Amino acid sequence: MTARRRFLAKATRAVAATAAVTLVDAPNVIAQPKVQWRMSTTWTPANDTLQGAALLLAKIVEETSGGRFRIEVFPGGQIMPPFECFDAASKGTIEAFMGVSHYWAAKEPAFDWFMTIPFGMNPEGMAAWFYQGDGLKLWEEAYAAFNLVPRPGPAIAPQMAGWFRKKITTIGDYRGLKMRISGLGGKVVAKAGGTAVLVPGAEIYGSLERGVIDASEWIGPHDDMKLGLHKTARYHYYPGWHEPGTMMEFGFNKKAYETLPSDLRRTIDHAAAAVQIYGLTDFHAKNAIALQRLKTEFKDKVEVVQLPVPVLRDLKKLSAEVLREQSEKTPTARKVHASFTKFQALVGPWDHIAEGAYHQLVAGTA
Amino acid sequence: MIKRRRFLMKAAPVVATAAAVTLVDAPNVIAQPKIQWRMSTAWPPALKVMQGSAQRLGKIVEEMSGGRFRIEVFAGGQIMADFACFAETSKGTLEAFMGAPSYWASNEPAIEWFQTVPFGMDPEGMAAWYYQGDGLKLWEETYAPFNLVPRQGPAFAPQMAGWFRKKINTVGDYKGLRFRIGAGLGNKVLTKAGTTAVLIPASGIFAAFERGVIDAAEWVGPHDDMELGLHKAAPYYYYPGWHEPGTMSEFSFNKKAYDALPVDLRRTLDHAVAAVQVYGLADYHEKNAVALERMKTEFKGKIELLQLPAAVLRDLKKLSAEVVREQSEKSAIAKKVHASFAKFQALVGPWDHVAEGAYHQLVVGTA
Repeated sequence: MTARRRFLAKATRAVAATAAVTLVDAPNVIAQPKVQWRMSTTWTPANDTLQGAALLLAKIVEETSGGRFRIEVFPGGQIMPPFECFDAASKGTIEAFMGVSHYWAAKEPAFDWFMTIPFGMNPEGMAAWFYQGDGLKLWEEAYAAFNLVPRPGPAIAPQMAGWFRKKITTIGDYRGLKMRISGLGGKVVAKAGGTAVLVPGAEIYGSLERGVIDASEWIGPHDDMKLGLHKTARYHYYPGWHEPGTMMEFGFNKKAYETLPSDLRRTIDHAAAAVQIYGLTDFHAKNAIALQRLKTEFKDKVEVVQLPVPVLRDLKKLSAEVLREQSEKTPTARKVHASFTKFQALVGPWDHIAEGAYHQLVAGTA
Repeated sequence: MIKRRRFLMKAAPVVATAAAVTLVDAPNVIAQPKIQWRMSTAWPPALKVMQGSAQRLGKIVEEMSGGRFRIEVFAGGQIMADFACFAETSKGTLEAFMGAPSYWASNEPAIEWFQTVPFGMDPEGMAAWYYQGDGLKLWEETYAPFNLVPRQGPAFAPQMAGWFRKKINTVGDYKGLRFRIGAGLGNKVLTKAGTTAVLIPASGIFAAFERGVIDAAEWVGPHDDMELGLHKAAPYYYYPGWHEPGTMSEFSFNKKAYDALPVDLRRTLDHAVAAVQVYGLADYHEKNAVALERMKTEFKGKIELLQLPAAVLRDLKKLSAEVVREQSEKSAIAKKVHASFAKFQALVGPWDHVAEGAYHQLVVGTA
C-alpha cells in the first residue's frame, strides 16, 4: 500500500525530485522547486480506511500540484513507532503525521474534544464546529504550543458500542466488566464499575478468546470484522455513545507548513477537506456492507443489539461527570469544553428536526 | 458580493490574463498559460448560502492553482437568465454553471435522482452513492449527451416540509391546498395528494402568501426561508422535509472545456468541489441552527414548529413510491438510475439506522 522504496534524501522544503511525474500533462510541467514531505501515521497498513485516507491526501496534493508537492506516507512502525509521529512532527524530523488528537491528550487534556467526546456531536456537528464555529481556531491555538498545525481528517463515526460476551440489560452489568475501551469512554466505564483495559487493536481478538477481557469496542462492523471480533463475542451493541463523532487529524510541522508557498498551503488545506468527504463516504459504505454480512453470513452467530435507554441515560450522567473533571484540568480544556458545549447546544435543536427527523420519520416510516 | 467589473474578453479555455494575482507568493508565480472560466448560477444573489458556495469554489480553485485558474462567478440574471445556464454551458457559451439538477429534469427524467427523491437518502447517503457507488458514474453518463461533466455541490438538506396557514392533521388536509413547491418530484406527490401546485419564483413567495394566492409553501430551511420573510407570512412551520431529504446542488462543466484543462487543474477542480461540499454543508448546518434559534426566541409565539403526523408521512411515502416508479418508467436511463439509487439506499439503510439513526434517537435524544 505504501511506497516501500527507500527514502534517501533528507526531506527538506525544496528537494529536486528526479522521480518521473507521470500524472502531469506535458504543457503543464513546471520548472519549480519541488516540495517533498514525509508523513508517518499511527495506523498499521491493515487499517485500510485510516491509512487509505493518509494516502489519499498525498495523492490529491500530488495531483493538484502537478507533482510539485509530494508527501511520502509511512504507516506506523515503518520509519518510527506509531505513537512517535506527533513528537517527530513537532520537532520537525518529519513534516506531517496522521492520527487522532486523543492519542496525545496526556500532553493537554483539551485535545480529547477535537476527536470526540462521549455524547458529543456527530461528524456533521464536528465539521460545523471546526469550520463555522471556534473549533479549528481553538485547535490551532492548542497545537501551536507544539509547533503543529492541525487539520481535521475524515470522521470514522458514529461508531458502535462494542462487542460483548454477555448481554447488558442494566448499568449494573458494567460492574466488574473488563472492557477494552480507550479514551474518555474508558473513564466512563470505570465510573460504572468496570475495568477499562488498553489492548492494541491486533490483540483484541486473542484477549477476548483467552477471557482476559469480557468486552471490547474498536470502530464499527468493517474494521471490527477485520480483527475477527465477530467470531469471539456474540453481542454487537449500538449506539457508540462514547465516540459519536470521531474525527481523525492531519498534523503538520508549523515551520514546514508556513514555509510552503501559499498555493501549496491552500492546496493541502483544501485537500484535507476533500479527504473528509471521500473518507466519510468510504466509512459509510464499507460499514453498510460489513453489517449486511453480519446479518446474513453470520446471522446465527452475531446479534446486533441496542443498549437499553436507561443504560444510556446512566452512561450519559457519568459522561457529564468525566467531561467536567477533564475540563477542569487546564485553562485550555476549560475553554475548549465551553466552546464545544455551546456549539452543541446551538446545533442540537436544528439537528433534531433535520437529520434527527430524517432518521426517525423519513427513513424510518414504514 | 459578485465582482462587477466588466468581462470583456471572450472566454476561451486558455486566456492569458493580465490581472494581478494577489494571492500568490512571489517565488511561486508561474509563467504559465492562465485559464479563465465563467460560471453562471441558477441562484438570485439573495441566496447567500448557495451563491456563496459558487464563489467559494472560484476562490479555492484560484488559491490552489496559484492564480493560474480563475472562475468568474455570476449570479442568475447577471449575464444570462437564471435557468439559461444549463443550455449555455452545454453549448460552450460559458464553461460552468451551478444549479440544482431537478431544474433540468425535463431534458431527461433520470436527472431527478441526482438531486434528491422524496423519502430518498440524506446528504451522507447521497455522497456515498456518488463516491462509493455508481451515482457519479451514472450522472456523467446522463449528462454526456449534453456535453456536460457534472460534479456534486454541497447539499442543502435535509430541508423543512414548509410553511402552512392551516394545520395538517391528515393527508386529506392537502386536498385543495394551493401549494408553492419547487420543481422536483415532491411537487408531483403533492398533486397526487390533491394540492394545486403553484409555481412562483423564490422572491415572489412572501407576496403570494400576503395576497392569498397560496395557502402553503416550501423553500429550503430556517435560514433561507427567513431571508424570504416566510416566517412572517404563515404561522405553522412543518418538518421533516420528506420531499427533499438529501438535496444536492451541482457544479457542472462544459465537457470540452473540462477535458481541455491540464490534468493538475482538472484534479484541482474536482477536489475543490469536494472541499466545497464539506464547507457548504457545515455552513448550511450552522446557519440553520442560528436561524432556528432566532425563530424560537425572537419570533416566539408567532411561529409554531410542528412535526407532520406519522400517519400523514406514511401516506405521503406511498404516494412518493408511485411517483418515483412512474418517473423511472419514463426513460431507459431513469430506470437504470432509479435501480442503482434504490439498491444503494437499501444497502446503507440498516447501517444508517444503527449509526446516525441511533445517534439522533439515543445519544443526543436520551434525556
